[in-house]
Amino acid sequence: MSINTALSIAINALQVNQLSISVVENNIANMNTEGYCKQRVDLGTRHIDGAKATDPHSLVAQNAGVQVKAITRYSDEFLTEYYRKETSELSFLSTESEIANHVVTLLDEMSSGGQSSLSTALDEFYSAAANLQQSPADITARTDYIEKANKFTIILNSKYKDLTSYRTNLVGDGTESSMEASKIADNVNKANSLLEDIADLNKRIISSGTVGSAANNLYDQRDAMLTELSTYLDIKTSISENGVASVELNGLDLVKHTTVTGKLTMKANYQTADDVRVTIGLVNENGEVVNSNINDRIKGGNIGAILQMGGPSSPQLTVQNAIDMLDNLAIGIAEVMNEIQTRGWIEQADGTYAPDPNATSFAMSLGKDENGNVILASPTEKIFVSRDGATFINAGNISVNNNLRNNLYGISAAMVSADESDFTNTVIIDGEVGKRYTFVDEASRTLVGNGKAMGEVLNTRIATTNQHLNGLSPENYLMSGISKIGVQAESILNQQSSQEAKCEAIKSQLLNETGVDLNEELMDLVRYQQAYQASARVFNTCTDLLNIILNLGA
Amino acid sequence: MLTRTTSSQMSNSLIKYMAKTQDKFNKLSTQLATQKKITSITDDAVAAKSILTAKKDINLYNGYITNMTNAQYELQAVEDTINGTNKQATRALDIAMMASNGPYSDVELSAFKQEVEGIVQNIKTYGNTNYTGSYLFSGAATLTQPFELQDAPAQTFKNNGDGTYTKSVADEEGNITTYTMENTGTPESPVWQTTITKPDSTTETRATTADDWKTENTRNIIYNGSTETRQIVIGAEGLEETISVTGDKLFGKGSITTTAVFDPATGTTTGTVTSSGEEGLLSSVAKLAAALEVGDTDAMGSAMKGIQTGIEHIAESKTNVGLTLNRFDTLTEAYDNNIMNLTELRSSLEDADLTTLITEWLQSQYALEASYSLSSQMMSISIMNYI
Repeated sequence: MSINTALSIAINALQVNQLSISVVENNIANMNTEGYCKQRVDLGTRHIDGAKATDPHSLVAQNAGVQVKAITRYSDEFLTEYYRKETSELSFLSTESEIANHVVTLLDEMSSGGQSSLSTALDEFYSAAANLQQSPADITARTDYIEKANKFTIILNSKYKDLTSYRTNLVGDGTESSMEASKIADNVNKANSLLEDIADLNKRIISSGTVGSAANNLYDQRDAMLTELSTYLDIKTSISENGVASVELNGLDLVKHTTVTGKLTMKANYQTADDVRVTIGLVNENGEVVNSNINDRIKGGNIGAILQMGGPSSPQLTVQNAIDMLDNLAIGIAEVMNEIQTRGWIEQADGTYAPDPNATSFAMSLGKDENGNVILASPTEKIFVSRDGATFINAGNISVNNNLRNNLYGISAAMVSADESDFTNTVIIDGEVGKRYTFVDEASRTLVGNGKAMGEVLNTRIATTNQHLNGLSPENYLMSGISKIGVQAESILNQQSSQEAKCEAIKSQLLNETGVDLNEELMDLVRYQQAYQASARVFNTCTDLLNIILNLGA
Repeated sequence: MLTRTTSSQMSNSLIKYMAKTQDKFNKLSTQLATQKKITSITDDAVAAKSILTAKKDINLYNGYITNMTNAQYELQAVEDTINGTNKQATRALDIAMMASNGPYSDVELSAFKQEVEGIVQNIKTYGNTNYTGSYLFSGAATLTQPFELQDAPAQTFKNNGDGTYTKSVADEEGNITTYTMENTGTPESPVWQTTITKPDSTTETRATTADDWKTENTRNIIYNGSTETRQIVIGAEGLEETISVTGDKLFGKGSITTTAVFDPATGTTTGTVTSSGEEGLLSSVAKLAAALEVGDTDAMGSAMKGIQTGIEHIAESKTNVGLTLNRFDTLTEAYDNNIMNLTELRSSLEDADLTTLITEWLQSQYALEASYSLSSQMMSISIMNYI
């Protein structure tokens, strides 16, 4: 073995340790990089083959110093995959929780004072009914009653609008334009972009080989993307021997080898019977439809949560459930109050009311006879109608009949026991002269202090027989609905909290296994530095030896 | 096996724990600022439901109490009116007793008559009491004035002083027909003839009839109100209470007819008072006034009985009003107790206990400060300081 060989070993050692130091430096630099996995230099002895086994000189000459066998990346595919699965669930719950919280905030029944709360508006409505029961002919009491009813409808309309807008923000309203601007579109686009990037990284990993620092960085990037993708969808990944990651979604291939085999597409569903606003499908790399509807396959991640919360009514909490609750409240209260307002009367084709031959109880409003005396008269209008003239009432269009607001006498505060023959169709003055029914018996006409219809209204505060309100009073129905939403929202929040702890524990484990520890790196740094210094000393010694030899003949 | 603990994991955990401590601190700060344990339904959905239910029930009971309070004012107005009516009725009864126990001079009787007539008007005014735009005693016909005293067209009789007598009879339109009776015979053997002058000034003469010497004046006490009472809801399951006293029972209605018959032979007038319809307080006092006018002691006696019955009705109505007011008081007290219990329940669920909260808030503050301090120290511990 020559001095030159020793020099060569020393130079090689300097290079290897320098490289090791650079790996340590890279680790330290990336110690806070999300998803970065610590890299370790695996050293091995370098030797030259061909030595004679009987010649000790030849055997020593085999030792050629040190070499980098590999740069190992600290990773745990099993744990990482488990973390992704749980992350997907956490994202699902976090998004669900965020949406549920927003729904609860929009319903806002807990705020003290609560001028905008439905329960306060209902309480005021019933108080006004009680006043009207005591003073049925008093125009102020009538004004208060109708205005409190109006306030209730305005709050109901406003909450309906807030909730429907929110659902539109989540999944659109069934039209392409609203879908494109919705939250689900953002998430689907981001997921598609990640799928493309993952396929591209697969390609680059194949080109760069499976080992080495460059490949490790690509793995890190791809793993980070897979983890990010798991926040959108409940994906499953598998890594092949050549380091290529395949991605599937509950049995559907999304990325295979270097190709995106399942890109997400969206289709807006306008007015579908099941009220699903958007359908997510899959297309292959050629744009051909692989699956036209995978909504049921997406059970996790942000997209799963948005699909569920923005979906149709369901036993689970959805925005539509809250809208349905408000709709039922609107329909229920309209049906109950309109029934009392027009009890015993049948609406005619011309909009007037005639006595029901089978009725024994009749709601009566007020009018004026030809002498200007205030008398009991048949009702003229329903109290709750749809604002836009639609044939159905919901929380968005319910309003107080403006005709009643303009003719307060039209409110039926009285309820009488009578039959059809007790009435006559005669001239009544209520703003303009027209014909309405009043009692044949003149004395009965004067019973304008009868407030029994308001008594009926007040009794609905205890219970109703309305199917939309499940037989409950409007206040109890509202409370029951809000409580149910609250319990579901709280449950989601608790699940999210528990899932956060679970993910945190897995992440800690993952960071412990794959993360960078500064002390460890510094120790390595010292080790490699010492080895470098020692190698440099060997280099100096060899130089000295060479100098001695060169000076032998001097 | 020693578990590898990395700097990344340590900093990650520290940040998470700090965030949690900060979140708790913020939550406690919000509770302290609002003094409410539960500010959102998701804080505790079950407790929130109880809070909302308590709030709804408190509103419900407050509604019933407000109903009863408003009705109480109205019933107190009814009670005041009944008391006033009672005083008037008692005075009328006193006068009736005095008058029937005579003798009194015509002047005294006239004074009695004038006072009783005043009482009739006062009782009518009480009967027509209007409270906040509604007549108290009209039952459900709250806009209809309940009582009306309607005197039928007057019939008068006059001694002309020249041996002739004139009876004037007005019809519904106020047109007057006069009957003039004149003796065409001798004082010993009188032959009476009646000349009738009609509103159109045509005259007709005929023999005088017995009716020509008779005048009949009728006063109708009309009740225009309703017998239907008004009710208010004062509790669950349709619990109602009547809040009006109808005037027909309390004041009565009917007709009083005063008949005066002149006897030309003696030159005296005999008067009788009869009544028809339901005899109530107002009609009895009116009957007394008429009886005093014509000195009909029998009628005074029957009017006295009628007034006594009327006073009994007043007492009965007063008792009923009192019972209703008592019921309102009892229910109000019960509802107040319910409200108090519900308020306590709501408060126990919703309101923060300041002592506990401040203690927790301080603990949380210490924990937060400790975590800041600990974190900075832990993060600065590194082998880097020793090499």
